[in-house]
Amino acid sequence: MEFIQAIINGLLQGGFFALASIGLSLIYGVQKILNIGHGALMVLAAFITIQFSILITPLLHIDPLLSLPFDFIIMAFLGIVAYFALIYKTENQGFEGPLLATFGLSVFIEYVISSGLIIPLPSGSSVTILPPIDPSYGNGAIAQNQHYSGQAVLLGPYYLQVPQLISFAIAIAVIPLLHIFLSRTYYGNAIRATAQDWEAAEFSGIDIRRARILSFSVGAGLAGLGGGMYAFTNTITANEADVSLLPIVLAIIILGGIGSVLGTLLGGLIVGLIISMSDLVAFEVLTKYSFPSDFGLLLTYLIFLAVMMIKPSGLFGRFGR
Amino acid sequence: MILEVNDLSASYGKIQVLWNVSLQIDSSEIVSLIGANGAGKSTLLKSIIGVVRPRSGSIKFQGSPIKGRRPHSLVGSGISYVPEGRRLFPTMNVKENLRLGAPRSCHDLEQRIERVYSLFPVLKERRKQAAGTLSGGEQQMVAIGRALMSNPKLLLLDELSFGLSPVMFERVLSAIQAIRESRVSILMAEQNSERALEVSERSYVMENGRIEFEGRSSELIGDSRIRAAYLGIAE
Repeated sequence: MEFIQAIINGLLQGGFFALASIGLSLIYGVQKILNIGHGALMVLAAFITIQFSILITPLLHIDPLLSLPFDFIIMAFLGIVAYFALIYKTENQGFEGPLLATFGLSVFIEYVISSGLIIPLPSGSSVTILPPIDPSYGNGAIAQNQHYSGQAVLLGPYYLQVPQLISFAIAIAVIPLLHIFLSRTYYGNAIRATAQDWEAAEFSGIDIRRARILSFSVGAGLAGLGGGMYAFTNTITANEADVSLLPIVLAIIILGGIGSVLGTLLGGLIVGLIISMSDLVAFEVLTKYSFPSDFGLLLTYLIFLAVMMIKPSGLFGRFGR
Repeated sequence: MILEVNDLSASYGKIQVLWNVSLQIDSSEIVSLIGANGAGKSTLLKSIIGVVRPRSGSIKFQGSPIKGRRPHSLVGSGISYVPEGRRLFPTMNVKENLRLGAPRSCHDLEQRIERVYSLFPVLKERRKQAAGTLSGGEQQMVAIGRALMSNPKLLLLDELSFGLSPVMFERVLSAIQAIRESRVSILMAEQNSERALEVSERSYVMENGRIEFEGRSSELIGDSRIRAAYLGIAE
């Protein structure tokens, strides 16, 4: 009974994990750039969703879920800006340039979230380009979307938590769509070709700059989607995602296989299941032995290491990795 | 005059690899570029297609300067490059590889693919097969086919014979001659000097980044210096 409930919890939470990971997976799979700013983009989107629910929802009675498309669009746009400003010049010269660039992006976004973009003027006053986006000014304690949190629907005798259910539904819809885009459309194939051999892609007449911009901005937009959903399930601080989510996301995308979109989905679901199953075991069995409550996470990383030793390219690894 | 290269010099970093190279190509001719490994043949082709940035000199395609243009735009203007070692997209099948050679909006995509199949019938049988699983000769056919999908007027071939059995190389060479019949000009950089001289009208012989000899292939093939250095025939 609890077993089935744990499976349900695990799958739904896994859906959220997959959604949180797919953006990073796309960018890394295509351009071999590890977008360290992924977490910051997620948190920014989360705060935008929170602000939406605080400011717009009471006024216009629009469901905060409708902030998600905005999250995607804003983060995708930021992705394009970040690409031109930071990455474009450095990307063909090894991985250090883009890595530092995305790290800088991460720091910058997190700073703007908690402190805004306020420029002091010589005259003593200051001009506010952007106020702090975090309504609690970095304290995080009250930064949670009150809508949907804590709600659940009943499926027979089992509870389905609504935020996780929504994340799961979005993940199940979006990720296969992304897979179809990559395998069946010209731009999708061009992106894959650029990932496999960018020089050969150039010789074939593919505009690899456009392919990279497209994949980077879609990856950033997807980070926005994941971040928006994150606001429904957690309290968050400005650097929250970097600390708690980014390690799991990294494990998920490597576990599922670099370059495989469906692999990321599977990796997310598996990790969700591992954590919920081990939470179940911890609750039932190990509370007697005061096992740490993060046992699920530990187990995840151990399984991740085991898979890496057996199949380093991940479960569905492709693109020659 | 489909291609005019004038006084081209190029470097890899600080090392100069092309020194004042000049050549011309007319429509519907096969021109070969022969010379030892490291003579600069590949670099010259890569300079034409825009992958290597020349330091000085000019390149004109159909009368317009093209130096500094990005490779994908040159493909769109009618130059195609078949790289050394094929460089197919390994997990995509034959048809997908071919498709990517054509522009995004392509009204006669199916016709172009059929033309490649009629040139290389075996590719039609293998059209759903992953490119990485094909034999060397078949991969070379796909690479050429992919380059043809953009309807080029100038085809640059880099070391066609590389990794191919003599039989396969012959099959590919006869396809190249058929391509020339449809009024595509061909510049082929080739280690196999003998065959290159036999199938081309004109040739340029490169050594150490410079053009040392040029002329009609039929004359060069009889030149004793060429025969000694490149055809392994001592006189």
